[in-house]
Amino acid sequence: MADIIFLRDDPHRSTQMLLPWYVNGQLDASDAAAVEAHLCQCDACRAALDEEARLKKEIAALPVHADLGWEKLQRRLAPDLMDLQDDVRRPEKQPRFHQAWRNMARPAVLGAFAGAQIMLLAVAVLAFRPMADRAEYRSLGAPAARPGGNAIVMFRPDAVEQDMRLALDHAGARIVEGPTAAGAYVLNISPDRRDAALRDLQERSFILLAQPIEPDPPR
Amino acid sequence: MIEPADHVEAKGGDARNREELRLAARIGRRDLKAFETIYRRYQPRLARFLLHILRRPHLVEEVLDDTLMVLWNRPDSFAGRSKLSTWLFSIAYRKAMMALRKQEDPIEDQAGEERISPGSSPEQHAGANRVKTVLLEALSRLSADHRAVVDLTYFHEMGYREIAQIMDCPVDTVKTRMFHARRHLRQELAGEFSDWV
Ligand SMILES: [Zn+2]
Repeated sequence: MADIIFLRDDPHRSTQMLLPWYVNGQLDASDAAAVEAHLCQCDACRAALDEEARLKKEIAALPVHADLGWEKLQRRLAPDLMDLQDDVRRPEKQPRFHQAWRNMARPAVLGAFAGAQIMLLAVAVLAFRPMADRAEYRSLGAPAARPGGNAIVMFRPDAVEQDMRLALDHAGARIVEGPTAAGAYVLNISPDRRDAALRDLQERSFILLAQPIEPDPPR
Repeated sequence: MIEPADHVEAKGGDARNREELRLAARIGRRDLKAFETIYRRYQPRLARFLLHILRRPHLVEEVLDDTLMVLWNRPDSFAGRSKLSTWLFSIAYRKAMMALRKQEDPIEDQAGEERISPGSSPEQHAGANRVKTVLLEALSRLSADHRAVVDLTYFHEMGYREIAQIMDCPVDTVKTRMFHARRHLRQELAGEFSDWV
């Protein structure tokens, strides 16, 4: 701890007052120059700078979230926007699925900072529902284009890309859609291997959630 | 996933500001697509900010909705003298403080409303999670004003002048609040620094 007994107009105090904005790059040139001049000659304030940087990083990364009640939120917020979308976009201009996906995903945008698995599941289910619509929709006209998603996965925010890829390879899963606004990916896994593959994925520490979703209808 | 990439500087603050002024002008002409763009951009950021201040999910929902709807329903009230982000955050802040004043009941379970998830392997992340837990608890003991300054500085990466505009207070008040908030947080974290990588 680099706490110091401060005197009024103490250069330590004025420097440490400004450190948060020195760290986030928001000081104007003269403030920044004054801070740097003092840091050059003060060990205590340099130590405080290190602490400051760590504190900022931790707080910025806090998964602050609330159980916002998704259905209710969607009723409150999304209907307005769904109306808006209907006004601005003609249905034939955009595939029906895409619009539905965007509408469904919007309330889930709040899930951008979500951490609770239960809530993530709610988000994932909400965000996924349009996929089923799309599958149906496409299967009517263009069977070849069916993406065939049958599972959904969410990685921890700090997951390493290589680990993610290896885990999916190992499970025999292929990403067919995503990420959604909530950060979920839709997977295709050979149906006979799906349960084993999901158990495998659920074991991984960097995977928050791996769940089956509506299975493919029989072809 | 958290998206600090939305930070204005990353895309060139000035270009971003000009784009948002243009979007605001389009919203004034009832352009729904422009409103959707702003809505999608600001909803997650404002939600996090409001959660920090209010700590009551049902209030967050209400204030967030009211804030963004001001832009749609009364676009003229944004005169373009400040950045759109400053204006939106200041409305959110004002509405949040009004909502807090109206609210008389104390929060029953602060930790329960603003909390972290342990993820899928608690043992591996126990250290990091303990720091987060301590921080969240320490934040809960700060006033709403102090939490607002902390969130705007650390997460939204705003300067003290912009924060003073948002909170409608002198610049020195922002600096002092931040100073005291940090001292409090550092004291609470005293035992946890060894866990920081
Ligand atoms: Zn010093």
